[in-house]
Amino acid sequence: MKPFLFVTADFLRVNLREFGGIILWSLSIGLVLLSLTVSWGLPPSQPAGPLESRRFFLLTLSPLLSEDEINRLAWEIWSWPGVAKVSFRFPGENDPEPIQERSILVEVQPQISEGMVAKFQKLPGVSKVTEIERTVVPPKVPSFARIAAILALVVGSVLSLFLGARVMGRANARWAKEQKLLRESGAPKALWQGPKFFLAGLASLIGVGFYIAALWAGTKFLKPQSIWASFMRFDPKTIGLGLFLGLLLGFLAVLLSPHS
Amino acid sequence: MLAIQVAELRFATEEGVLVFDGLSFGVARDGFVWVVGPAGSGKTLLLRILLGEVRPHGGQILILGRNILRLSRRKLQDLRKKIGYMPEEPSALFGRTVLGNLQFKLRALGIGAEARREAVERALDLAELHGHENARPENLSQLELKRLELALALCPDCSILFADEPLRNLAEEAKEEILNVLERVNQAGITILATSSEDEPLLRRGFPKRGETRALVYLRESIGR
Repeated sequence: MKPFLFVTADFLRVNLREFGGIILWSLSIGLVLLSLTVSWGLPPSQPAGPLESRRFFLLTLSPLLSEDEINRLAWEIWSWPGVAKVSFRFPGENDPEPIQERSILVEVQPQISEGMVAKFQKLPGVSKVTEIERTVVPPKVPSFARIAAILALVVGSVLSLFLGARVMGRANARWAKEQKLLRESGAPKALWQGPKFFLAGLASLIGVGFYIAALWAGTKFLKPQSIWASFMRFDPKTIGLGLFLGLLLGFLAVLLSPHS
Repeated sequence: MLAIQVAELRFATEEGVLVFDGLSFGVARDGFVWVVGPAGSGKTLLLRILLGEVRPHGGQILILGRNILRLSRRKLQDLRKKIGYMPEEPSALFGRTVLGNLQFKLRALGIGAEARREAVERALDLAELHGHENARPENLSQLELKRLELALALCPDCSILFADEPLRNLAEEAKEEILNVLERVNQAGITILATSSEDEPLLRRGFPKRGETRALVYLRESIGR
């Protein structure tokens, strides 16, 4: 193990100046994985998908509440886990019945809707809670989203293989003498070939890191109703598959690189 | 007792050119044998076969009493540790010092610090490179570069040395120097099998055309036979 660590450290030291190229390569791997996830998550047909059932709560507010108090209340509800959307309704509006008093309309994720009525009723200033179930048509996936995802996948794949082969080709050339010396010294092949795969693995892992960060940011900051959020998955299966594909892309670049 | 024994070696290229057809020779332990032949006669190929890198089509090869054609990859690697190889094309690492070159090879092979120090000292002694430890290969003369190649081949502790064209690209005086160094390496107990495309400097040194301790093996006699 010690010789391998020494040789790998030497390979990385000699190729330190490739750092920028490695990061670009990693970014392209992240792009491939992200565009693949998005392409995978797109509904099969462009028109609107099947109808979706969503759960809303209309909170009728006491007329005694000031605007500041209503604002504070809305912010508090917004901070609760599982709350997808908070909006205001005013007398004169219809949603779906005519609104009599100032109200707050809250959309919650279906899995946490149970027990919410009681929770809302405990809030100060809420005089009535009405549970509403609505059937909505999910937003259409615009054709540009599909084209952009597939284009990003193709461009990302070509770019990742090109950048990977370029970085590895340069790294191989810089370390060619060391490799020759080790080969002619009778060192096992794994010792002088291993560092290349280590570097490719490292670039892949950085790429997968970018991918995971993008998935996390997508699930955290995108509104649940947005089209993009609908195909952002942040689960172990998606991450595991991304890791596998990322490493595969990295190792493929090693095999395609010159002097390999 | 023979350190290297080649019997009835046969090898043909993919195009069907017979390079070796029944080549046989032996090198005694502590022996010093030169394989002589013109460019393209198969000198480097012979060394690569003896190193186990290329498989011949027939014959038997015993190195230190072991049939290398029947050894497992692992056992061949163990045996390989006892063989130093000085390639025709320089393998010295430019941009590193002489000491850095030796240290790189030894550390990569997993040699411990104490053994490393001893191996470096011995290699520098045998190759007569003391005083050049901190020089870089790009600043060395052709002769000194050959000495560095030799020092690298001798590390960590070989008992057989294969030297491919050690006299190539050297002036007459430098050739004599390298021959002196190789003689001393041989006297230190290391078996040497070297190649050369010219036999004059070797005949001047008194290498006989037959023998197992000191000899010249002419390859051109075997080609196309």
